[in-house]
Amino acid sequence: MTFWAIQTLNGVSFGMLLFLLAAGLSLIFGLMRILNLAHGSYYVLGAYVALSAIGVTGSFAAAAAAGIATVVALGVVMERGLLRRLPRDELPQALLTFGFLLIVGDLSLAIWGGTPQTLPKPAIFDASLRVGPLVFPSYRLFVIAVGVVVGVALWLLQERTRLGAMLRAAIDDAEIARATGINVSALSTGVFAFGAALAALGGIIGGPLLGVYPGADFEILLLAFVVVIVGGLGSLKGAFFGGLLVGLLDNFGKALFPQFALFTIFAPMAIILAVRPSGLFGAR
Amino acid sequence: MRVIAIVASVFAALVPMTACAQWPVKIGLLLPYTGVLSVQGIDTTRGVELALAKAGSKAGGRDVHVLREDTEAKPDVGLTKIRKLIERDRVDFVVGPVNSVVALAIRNYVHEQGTPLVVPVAFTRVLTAPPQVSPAIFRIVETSDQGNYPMGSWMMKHTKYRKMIVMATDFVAGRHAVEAFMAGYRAAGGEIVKEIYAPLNTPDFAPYLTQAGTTPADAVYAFFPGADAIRFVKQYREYGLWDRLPLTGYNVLADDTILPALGEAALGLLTVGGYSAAIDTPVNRAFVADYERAHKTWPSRYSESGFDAAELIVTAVESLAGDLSDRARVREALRTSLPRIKSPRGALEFDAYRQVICPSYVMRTEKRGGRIVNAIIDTIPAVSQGQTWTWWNRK
Amino acid sequence: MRAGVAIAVGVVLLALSPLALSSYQLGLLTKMLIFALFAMSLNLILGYAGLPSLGHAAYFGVGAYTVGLLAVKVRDNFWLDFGAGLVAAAVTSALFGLLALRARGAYLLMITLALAQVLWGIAFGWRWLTGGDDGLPGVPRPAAGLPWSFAGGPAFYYLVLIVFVVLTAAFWVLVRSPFGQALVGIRESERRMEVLGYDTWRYKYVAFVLAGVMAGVSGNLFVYYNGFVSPAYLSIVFSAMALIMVILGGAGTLLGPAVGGAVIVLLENVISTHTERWLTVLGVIYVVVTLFAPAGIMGFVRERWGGRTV
Repeated sequence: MTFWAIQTLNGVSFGMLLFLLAAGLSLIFGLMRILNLAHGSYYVLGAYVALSAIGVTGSFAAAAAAGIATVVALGVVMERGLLRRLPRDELPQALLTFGFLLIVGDLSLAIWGGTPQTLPKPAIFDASLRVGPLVFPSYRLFVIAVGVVVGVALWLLQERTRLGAMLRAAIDDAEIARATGINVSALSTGVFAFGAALAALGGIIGGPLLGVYPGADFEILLLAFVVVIVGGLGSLKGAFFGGLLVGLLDNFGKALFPQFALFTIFAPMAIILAVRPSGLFGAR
Repeated sequence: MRVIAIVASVFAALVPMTACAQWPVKIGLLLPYTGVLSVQGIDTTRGVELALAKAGSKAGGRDVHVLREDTEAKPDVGLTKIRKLIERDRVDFVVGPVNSVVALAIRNYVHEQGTPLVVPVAFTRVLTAPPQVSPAIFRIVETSDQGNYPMGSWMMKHTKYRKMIVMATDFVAGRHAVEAFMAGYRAAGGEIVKEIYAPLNTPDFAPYLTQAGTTPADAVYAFFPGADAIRFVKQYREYGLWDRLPLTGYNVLADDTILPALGEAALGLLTVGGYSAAIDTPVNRAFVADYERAHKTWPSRYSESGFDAAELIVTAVESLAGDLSDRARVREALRTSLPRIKSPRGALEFDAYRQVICPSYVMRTEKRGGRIVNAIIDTIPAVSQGQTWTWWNRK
Repeated sequence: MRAGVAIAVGVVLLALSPLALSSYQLGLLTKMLIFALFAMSLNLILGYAGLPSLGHAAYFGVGAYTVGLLAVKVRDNFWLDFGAGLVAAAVTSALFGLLALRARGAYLLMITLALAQVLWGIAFGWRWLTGGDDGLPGVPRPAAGLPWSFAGGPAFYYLVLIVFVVLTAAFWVLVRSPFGQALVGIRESERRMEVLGYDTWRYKYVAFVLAGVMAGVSGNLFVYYNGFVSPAYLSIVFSAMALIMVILGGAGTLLGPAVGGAVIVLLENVISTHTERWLTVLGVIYVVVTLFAPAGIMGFVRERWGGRTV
């Protein structure tokens, strides 16, 4: 009983982390059809800047703000300055964002060094909770809470506000949205910046669990893509439930079938693509 | 025809003279400078540079130049780069690599070319055992066997752990390391109750920790590299396993590169390894002080290995008075120079296969003087690879 | 005709290279040709048929492992080993094509990645056969029963060069044929081609298998070149590298990917010698090329100097 309870909590907390990692990518691809390979860079940069900021200020909240602000600035520069100039073709986008992935990764190595690091948790989450025979790190409960709060907030934003309505209109059909007076250009930059902010948040929340080191950008990018594909491109609900599904399947897969551990991240993706090729909540 | 003969003989007479004309000794560093293992490449390089600075960047009356090539931890890139170092740059020695897969990939080439390769980090056990062993390859780092095998019997003799769980990353290094430990532990009468393997770059060890937590045993022996080690050790503590199942393992779990990131989470960890910056000898204290002055941080075992590699080369070149023209003599000089260097690790020498015989240190991670260090609690002297061949390399 | 002259000059220069280049430089050129082939094979499905794949290293690696395992553990016979490698690549791409081609766009990208990762995982985990992540060293140069040996740099270089020229010529014929034109039509608008009566899936499938076999050829050559094989040959890094080579060189052009492949191999080796920040330099180059030549190097060349031959 303890075993199943803990494994379920493990899966859910990992799933929420995956959601935070994937939400930004899903948003950007969904609205702008931009395959942003620099998504992994946003995670890493957010985590590294937060790490330095914590070293200077000692405050997790201030560090989080610093990390997010830096990444948002980079995102805005990338979108307005560069991605806009490209033809609406995935291949040049891939090359451009890949170039950024390399640049940010290498400069991070130069600035923060190659030693693997982890973000320190906020001190209140240092303890683990004990309920009878169960021991569970309190920080992971915090991750679940953050995931749920962000998920609900994004859903409310999308479904219940005017901004959300404009967003949905622009996703469905950009030309008609523009014709009705929606400022698709400002919306695009805004969405891109927001997606970047979500990725940075993923880095800050995930930093204490996953750590940050050279190569983390590629690993995170891969995880985010798996979640987005399982959940369906462009769907935040998909990122949420896709993340949850992948987290749970990965966790139980590793616990019950250790010999296939290498494939447990890809198995959900393969199943989904076989059964429902556009993902759980994907459109086309 | 006669003109050609005259010109040729003049040339032949000139060549030995130009060889003595102070061309620099060239050392090629074949290490990963980018990617996940960059910290190992960078640390090794710092160790090399520290040793060369001590020697005034001169050996045997000649200047010493260092060339760096990035292997990116990829075997095909490593092979291309070592070709460049040997064929284009004509280096006299190569120091590297870090990855075992790169070492195995370049082995045939190095063997054919004959340029001496001093291996500071790549620890695959097959490199210095027949049939892969080569007279051109000199390894100064202990194999996964040399570190882990003696720890098995040490564990039985000095602790009360009679039933252990083994946990490792599921790749060759991890498997070989715990295989060696299990062989030594079982030979001394211990029982391994479970083996748990996780893929490389596992972000979440929770499923594995829960498995370990529900298995009755006395302790855990583990091998995880780099970022995996940080996540593993931290999550191990967070899931409350430490009280019931003390954590032990190879020093890679808490070596000096990741000890700062682990912090208090690593306190109490019992490990075995070839080096700790906390070794309390005058030679090591001086080394650590010099290193800290240059880089504001303590050296890791990679730094120390680079240091030893460079000292070895400098000592060998000195013993030849700078004359590197006879490759066989150079190799012999390398072989005999190892016992003569003052290594921060202790006394070193080569066995018949040019693999180092070195002490292994049992360490406990403790707080000493406000700093978290791997304090030495015991020494296992002069372990050779041959002693560990009893179970996998029967002749 | 200008393109024809340029090509002829290029081939002559390549043929004369062993006389002018050092052994290291010739080795580098050999590597450039092998990767040019690998990139060209991806170009068939990515550039011409519009099928993005992030798992193309699967066929490269399967060919390489087959050749390597046979040469080391069974027999070093070029015709047997190389042929087996091609068969393995063909079977793998035939199987993966069936599974992957139901998807499109980013989904196709991810499913091809997943399939390649499965092979990578097998090579990584099956230690007693493949050596695991330590790889399989000791692969000898091909023994083809011919009166000369391929152990030397120039001899092996000529083998690679001949394969490269022959396959490029075959590729050229293929893309100008009705089959090739149909692929381009499918890339532009699959719906339209279906309406016109084409069995688009079959065209995509054949292209997929052909691309896989060609990737297998380059993988076979690569394992002979290096003398070893490791899971890296099946990794996402190699697949991504091929993708970048195609895009940088110009997807959908004949020689673009070859140029892209050669440029990247050259840049990586030259820049990394001069600075440790070579990845930043490489990234900046990609960004600049994308901004000024979004259709890749050969795309840019086409726009400036016209012509659609290459």
